[in-house]
Amino acid sequence: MKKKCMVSAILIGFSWALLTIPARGQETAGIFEQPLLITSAGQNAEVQIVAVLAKRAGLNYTLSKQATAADLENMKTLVLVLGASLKGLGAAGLDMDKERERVMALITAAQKAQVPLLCLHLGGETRRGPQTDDLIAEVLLLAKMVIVVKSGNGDGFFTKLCQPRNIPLVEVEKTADVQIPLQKAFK
Amino acid sequence: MNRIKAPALSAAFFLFLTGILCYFSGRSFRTMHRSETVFPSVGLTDTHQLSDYFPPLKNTHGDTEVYIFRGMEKGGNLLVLGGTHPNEPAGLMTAVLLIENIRGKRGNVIIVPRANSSGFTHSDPQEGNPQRFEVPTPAGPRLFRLGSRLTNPVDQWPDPAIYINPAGQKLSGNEVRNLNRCYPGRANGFLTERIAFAIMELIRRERVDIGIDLHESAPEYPVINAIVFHENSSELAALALLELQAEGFDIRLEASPVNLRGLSHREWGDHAGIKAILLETPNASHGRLKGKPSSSLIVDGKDKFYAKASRLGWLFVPYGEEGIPLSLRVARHLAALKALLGGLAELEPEKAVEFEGMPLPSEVQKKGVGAFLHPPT
Amino acid sequence: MLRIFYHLIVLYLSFHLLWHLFRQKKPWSQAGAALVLTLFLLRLFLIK
Repeated sequence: MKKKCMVSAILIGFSWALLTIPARGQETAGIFEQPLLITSAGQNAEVQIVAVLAKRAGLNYTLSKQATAADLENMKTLVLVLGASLKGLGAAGLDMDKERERVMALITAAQKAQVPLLCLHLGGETRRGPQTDDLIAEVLLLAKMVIVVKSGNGDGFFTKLCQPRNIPLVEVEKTADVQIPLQKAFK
Repeated sequence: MNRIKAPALSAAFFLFLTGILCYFSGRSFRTMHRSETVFPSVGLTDTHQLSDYFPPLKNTHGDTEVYIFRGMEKGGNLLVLGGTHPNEPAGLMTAVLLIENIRGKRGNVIIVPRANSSGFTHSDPQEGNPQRFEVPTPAGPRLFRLGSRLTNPVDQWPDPAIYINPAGQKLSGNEVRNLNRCYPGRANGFLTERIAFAIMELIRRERVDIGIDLHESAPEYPVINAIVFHENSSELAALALLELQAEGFDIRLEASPVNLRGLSHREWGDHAGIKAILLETPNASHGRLKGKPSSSLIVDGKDKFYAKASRLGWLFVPYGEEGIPLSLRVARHLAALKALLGGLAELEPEKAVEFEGMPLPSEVQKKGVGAFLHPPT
Repeated sequence: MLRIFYHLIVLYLSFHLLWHLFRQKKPWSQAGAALVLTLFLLRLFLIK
């Protein structure tokens, strides 16, 4: 009985580890510093979930839906939540070109200030599409680490982008599971 | 003389047939004015009419029942609105299920099951929709009306060519009869605007803290299985989403667009300052790709055309041969309500709302809505 | 006011249909007129 319990515990632990370890075994723990600036690339609503997860993880964060280079002051990490929402863009009075411009200017400023980039995609399959994919392809290459909800990577889109460039990619089953790799990613 | 007489006789016969046809079809139409009976639980503390909050609504087809469940402990005030669009039955059924089961514990729960009462008195033209759908209960079926998205034109006519709603948004003319485009309403406006105004008055007078507007949408519509939230409720919506996903309900967040005016999730937040949430579930009977509309399509949600559309990747929700039944859609609304109240208790404990007796979403999904409804009389 | 105009218009058209019904000689034409008249009468009594 004791042995069975031990085996079950090991198996559960192993499965948990499989869920949270990165695809290629790169370093994903303690690679970012706080405070972090959270913004979206595509004005999606998932940015709010990331803020809640960061709060739950006890991270020192600032949420700005339309962050600019000025918001990067005193920040040690830039967190981009990927996914275009036409509703969100419309509500912000932006179109995809303007949003792309804002995001790229922000990343350029971050690189200049040596602020690393962490990218997240939480919207799953429904938050993909030509517009989102074009933006992701551009932004992802500059990331230091990527966390995605598995259903959004069903076609291996994120894997294909991250693998050749050795960018650590963490896949999680559900949005709530993002909290653990997010927490671990910060010192 | 005889030559004239024969056609005149047959014309009189056809006129008589016209009279009979008018009588029976008219009688059938008129039955839509009979509200389905709701059997409140013993926890009900007050019943009002919407006109109690805005008297000019009295004796109009816009007046409707307001059920209040007051808790013993001090807490927040929750408003649940069903039937804003009477052709979205999960909203009505969730509200009825709550009224027939809950008992207030902390704070107050205010439920309006048929927000646009006039919309329940007719059905959408040229849709071939059934007038009613049948919800099976252990003691026999209960009938509920399937109304129209819009106010009955008999109560509000004619529509303007272009409608400028109370919030200043320009819309197509018939939206003047869409309750969810008329907020914050006008005291001297069209009937639908007066209903919206009365709901705003209810929110103010009952000091509502959080309002939840229950809806359904077609599976081919992008805002589906979604929590639409006012920006003042963004953290609450995110907390609810995490809770719902943990319970196995796939759901997404949609921020209420600031420039889309007249909707509950926008104007309740802007004008009354309450947390404003709108919930959407997928309903095949509401969509453009459906087969024959029927009571069973509404209740069982099985539709081979939607199943095919899903296989072709045309939909925003997975739609299998097993369909998306009313029980699942109501369960989703209940689960979202529970998750939102959990989030509210976490964020603002002094405004927490608690009640007892609400059927578990998993049980509703398993046993069906009817298992938790009062038997028919 | 608008409602009175509406009623008057529908009433006028209903009378025309009634007149038409009695002028038709073929039963099928009469049946057609009777069916259309049904719709107008329902409108006249604001039944929807």
